[in-house]
Amino acid sequence: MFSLETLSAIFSWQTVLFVAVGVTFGLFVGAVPGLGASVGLVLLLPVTYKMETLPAIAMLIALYMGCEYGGSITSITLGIPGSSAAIPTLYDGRPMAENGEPGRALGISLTASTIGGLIGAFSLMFLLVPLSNLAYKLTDPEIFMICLLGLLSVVGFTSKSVPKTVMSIAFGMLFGQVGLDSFTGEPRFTLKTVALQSGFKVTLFVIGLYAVSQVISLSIGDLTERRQISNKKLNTHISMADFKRILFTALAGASIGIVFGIIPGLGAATAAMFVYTMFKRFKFNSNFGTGEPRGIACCEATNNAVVGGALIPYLVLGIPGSNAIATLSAGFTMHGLATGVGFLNTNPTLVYGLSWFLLIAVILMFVIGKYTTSLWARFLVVPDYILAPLILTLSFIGAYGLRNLYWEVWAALIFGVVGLFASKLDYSTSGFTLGFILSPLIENYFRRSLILSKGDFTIFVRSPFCIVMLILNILMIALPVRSAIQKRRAAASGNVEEKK
Amino acid sequence: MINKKKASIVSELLILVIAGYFLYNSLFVLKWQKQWYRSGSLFPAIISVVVIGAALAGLYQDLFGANKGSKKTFSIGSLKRLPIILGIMVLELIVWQMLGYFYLSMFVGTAVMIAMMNVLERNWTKRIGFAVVISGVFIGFVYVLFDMICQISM
Repeated sequence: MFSLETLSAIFSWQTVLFVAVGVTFGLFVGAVPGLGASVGLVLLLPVTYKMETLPAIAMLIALYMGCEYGGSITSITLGIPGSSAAIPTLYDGRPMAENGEPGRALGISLTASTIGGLIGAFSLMFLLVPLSNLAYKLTDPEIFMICLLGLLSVVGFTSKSVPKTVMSIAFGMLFGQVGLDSFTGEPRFTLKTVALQSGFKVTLFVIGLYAVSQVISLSIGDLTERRQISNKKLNTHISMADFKRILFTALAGASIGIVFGIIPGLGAATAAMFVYTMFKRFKFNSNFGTGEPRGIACCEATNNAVVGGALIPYLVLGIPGSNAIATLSAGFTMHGLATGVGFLNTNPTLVYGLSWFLLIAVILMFVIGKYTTSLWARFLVVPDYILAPLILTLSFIGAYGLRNLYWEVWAALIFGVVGLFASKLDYSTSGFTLGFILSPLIENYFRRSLILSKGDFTIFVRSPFCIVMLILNILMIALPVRSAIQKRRAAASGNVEEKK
Repeated sequence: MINKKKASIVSELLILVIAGYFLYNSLFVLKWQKQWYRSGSLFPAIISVVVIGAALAGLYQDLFGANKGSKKTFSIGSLKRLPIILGIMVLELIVWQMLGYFYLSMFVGTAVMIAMMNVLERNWTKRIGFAVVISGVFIGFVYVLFDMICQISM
């Protein structure tokens, strides 16, 4: 990875330029409320169709990185989170902006994002080889259990309603079953049509459930409202005192972010919220929520560190643990790449190149972010009636450009309407897409395990690793169920007391 | 405002029907196979059962459990504007599919949407003029980027 031979094969000024384009577009997409890394990746995918593999993938990864910081720009300047991972940034970023220091808040966010991004990039560089070696030792039932943990962690960490989250995930898995059976080649649930034989593509769901539903939501929302930046002092320079103050928090947040990134299913939003809530409990952080720099730093470092962490299971095991990585995987597939065990050995230049370009993306994110943040903040006052139709056009290009099929554009539109209502009814759209993404993988390992054991289900509890994972999986379901029952009992006892 | 409990029940019933279809199709194939564990229907059958179980649990919550007396509502925005916006989108796609001119259809669709949604501008001439300019500039940019630079034919 560090040899001159590898470096000279990887680096070219064109690729660095594409990384800069990716970061810039990521800052924009991250900053636009309601979009996010997944939608940004889908919108940029068509541009990469005819590009060479390394620059194309590096540009997409750079977008993902830029997006995680971009989300904080709107959180701080407008009080609207650009992406779900930037929600906790709002709690301290917005009060700081309202106190007349939006530039300082943005500077802290940018610095913490850079620290998180760097830690994430270094973790990718140094953990890839040992974890790739470890991956060879994992058996099919063990990988099945890891994938299952990825799905159930969505229930454990993010569920508003346990039945609806389980339903969303499993429903997504059912849609992942449509198409030809990868073992036998027989069509499944295709309604006897040729169009469905190749199944649905994840990008279709991302465009429908996130981009199109956001377009509809913006179009039928309050069109008389105009976003305004409360203060135009957007110089992102921060003092050394602020840097020293946030450093430990950012490092700690980044470390947790890597772990959350590695566990499939959790993603940046869950990680940032978890870290913010955890740090808030410490006594010395009692002023969290009032414009505390550490409040901004912890979640921003976390969500950027997740990027490097989330790439690890994808490159090592082929498990796309989040929607953004799944969308990124479409870019890999488009260029004829299949990640998983042995991928590092067959594509060392590409994998090492991605690690290096992730590092470069972080540095460019800092530089570009420093000089363009105020520009994005001003751009975001563009009213919804202009923004929505423009996003719609790009979404149609994304949906059609994928395979040049009209029905996929129609499907994206239908999923957009479904997504609009689903999120209001507490269904988990991210759970659905994750279920869809992991469904073929889980089925693959599940069936291979059963064929090996000739139908004996005890194969899933034969190794100590499997037993530990099984316990974790049970906990992921049991804990939110217990918490829901406790809440219900508390509410019921409250009602009884009120009646008395 | 939409009644959340009613909408939730409708969605759960819809999911039950779809999951039922998947389960029926899975079991139909599964019962003919001796080595059931090799069957491509086993996994979808299990997942269908999970969906049905979760949907029934959700229905129970809504009808008899925690949400029994709930009168919560939710808003998605202007329900009057929803069919208009969807209508424009559908028309945009139909025109594109029938005529085959992607950029022209998108230009018209984008301009119509901007003109319809620019509610603060009372003067319709200004509204339409503004929409045409914005749409033209944007579609021009998209055309240059995708058709000329990336060479993706739409």
